[in-house]
Amino acid sequence: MLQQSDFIEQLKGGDEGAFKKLVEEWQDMVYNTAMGIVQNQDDADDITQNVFVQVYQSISSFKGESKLSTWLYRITLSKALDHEKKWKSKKRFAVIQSLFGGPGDDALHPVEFEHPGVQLEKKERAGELFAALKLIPDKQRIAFTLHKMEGQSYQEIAEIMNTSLYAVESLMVRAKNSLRKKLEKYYRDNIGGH
Amino acid sequence: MDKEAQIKKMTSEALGSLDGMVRASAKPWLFAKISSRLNQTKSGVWERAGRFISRPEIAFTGLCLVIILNAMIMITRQSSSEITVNTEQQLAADDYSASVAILFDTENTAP
Repeated sequence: MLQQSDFIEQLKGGDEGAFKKLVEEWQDMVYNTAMGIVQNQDDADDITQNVFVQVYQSISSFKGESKLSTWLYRITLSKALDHEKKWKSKKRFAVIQSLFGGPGDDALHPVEFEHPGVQLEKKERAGELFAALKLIPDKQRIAFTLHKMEGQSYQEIAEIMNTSLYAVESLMVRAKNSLRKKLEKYYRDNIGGH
Repeated sequence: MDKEAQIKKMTSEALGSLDGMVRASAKPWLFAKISSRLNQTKSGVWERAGRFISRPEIAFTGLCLVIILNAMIMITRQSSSEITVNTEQQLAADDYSASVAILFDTENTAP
């Protein structure tokens, strides 16, 4: 089996076959992680392409101090969060525009997100969980998403987030508490209609 | 079931709704799309350079630099040609210098 260091050297040498192999091997991981953050399939596809373009262009700067997957996760999360920030600023601009009688924006009423990998009978609750995820702090959301959607262990999450195992455990506890509060409030306000 | 118990149940279901989920698969033709983007980036280097140069502030600064350089070259050349002209004039003046007559006059002091 090809060692990571040999594979990296091939990538650094501009080997197109190696790059294709990298894309094929990691595309679902990048796409799924991006989708967990931006909650939109088209945006996740766009981010996935951007991630691999950046990987191709900056592979020479990869020192091999961390695992290739860790590096890929970091790039993906960074791109996804950047994308989300841009989307939020557009949304804010649309709010201001609508205050002054502008056309507004459909983004003010985001459509419910359905992750294609969620089991059918859990889709409704998962939609509510995804909506709640958007309301919690980024670090908690990243830890929760990596653990629940990517099945990463706390140790691996600590490496990706460049933090301690204790910090990840704490983030997960706070993420679950935050989500529980948001969901309970949502159900309390809406359960009358059920 | 009372309302609070129902809320707790729904919350618990929501928090566990991602259990057993599978990874979403990336859309088809991803590698082709990435290759296309990379080719665009490669061919776009000169386009980007062109766009950078044609930006008003860059174009204006470049134009000013060219004018200043030209002016400096002209001034430098002008001063060196002045020196040449002066030297030539000096030589011509020496050829027809009145000092020669003075010299003769000096030598022929006798009446």
